[in-house]
Amino acid sequence: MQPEQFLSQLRAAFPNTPIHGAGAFTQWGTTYSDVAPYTKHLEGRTWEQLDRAYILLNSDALGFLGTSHLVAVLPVYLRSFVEEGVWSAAAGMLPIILTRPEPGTDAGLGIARFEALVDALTGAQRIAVSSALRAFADQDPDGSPGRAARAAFDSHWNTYLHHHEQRDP
Amino acid sequence: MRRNVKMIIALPFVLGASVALADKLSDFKDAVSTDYCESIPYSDLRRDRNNGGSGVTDWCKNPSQPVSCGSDAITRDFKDKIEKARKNVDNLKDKKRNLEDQKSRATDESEKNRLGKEIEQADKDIYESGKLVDHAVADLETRKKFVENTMDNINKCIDYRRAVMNVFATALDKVRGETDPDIVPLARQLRDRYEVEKRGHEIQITEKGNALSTCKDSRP
Repeated sequence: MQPEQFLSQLRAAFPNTPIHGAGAFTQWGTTYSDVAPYTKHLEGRTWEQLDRAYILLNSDALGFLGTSHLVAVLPVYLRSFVEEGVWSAAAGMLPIILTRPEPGTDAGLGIARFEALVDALTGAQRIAVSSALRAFADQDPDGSPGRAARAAFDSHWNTYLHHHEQRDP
Repeated sequence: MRRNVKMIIALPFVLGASVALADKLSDFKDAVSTDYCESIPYSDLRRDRNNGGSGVTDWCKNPSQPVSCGSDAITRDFKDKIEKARKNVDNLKDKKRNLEDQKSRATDESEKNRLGKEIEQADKDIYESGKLVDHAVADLETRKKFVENTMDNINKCIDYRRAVMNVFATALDKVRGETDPDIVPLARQLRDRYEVEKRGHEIQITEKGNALSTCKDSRP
């Protein structure tokens, strides 16, 4: 998938509405090191208006953000994931966040938070996540980051893309 | 008289203890209502946390200190390029040897001239291909240095991230041990928060651990 194509997909899937920073870390991350500056960066901006360099440099926030704020900033990270590939600052973090924990393990976000994330995403957003993981994995088929993205894709997200492509080939 | 003396001696201790308790209670109230470092009600741990935090900024979030080797496949591509370039040089050398062999057996002068020109061209091609090998070797050497430097950065980043996580782990142990009735409910809130948020810190370390592993696999 071409980055421009993916950007159109992201724009169609994620609303262009201002994000409110308040409470971004209340649910899971008050001990995150950059609560105040990250929250300030979010305030009143749409995902496309966010300071991309800052948000990407602080991709460690993904493990601490509350579910609704995670959904709100996800397109910034997904875009970088597809456009910058293995050099994206989100290349290491996204597969961890987006891999569904296997039964008996509670890795990554943990099953409860992972399911809350999936539930909070619309159908189009789930397909966008699937597309990003597959595009990244295709860019780096023989490398560890690409294999991690493929594992995340296979752990859960492949279903959405499969259904989407069957319905709308 | 003796009783009064006892009171005079004991009073400062009692007052001191109650002031300390009030300060501690205030620290706990602040910790419950604030974020990050301030959410630790112990000043010594807050200090440790601040030290670790600046290390994280310097070594994990500094654009001039890379903390990713990209993909291990990049190094393999560099090595493949060297191999292909060397193979190309070998093929050209074989070609030159064949030409020289043909030339030594040629009797016709014009044939000898033609082969001579082809040998000259093969020499040029060998020289150019040799330069490609040199470039590819230099690229691999640059990659090697980048990987080593990045591994140093990641190791430092992980150390600081672990230090921060350990501060919260120590704080967790301490809040679990609080027994003062005024502090216990606040300590319980902090305990719940630290336990829930531990995962975020673990994810950060896992991510850097994976990055380190990719770098190790990226060493030529």
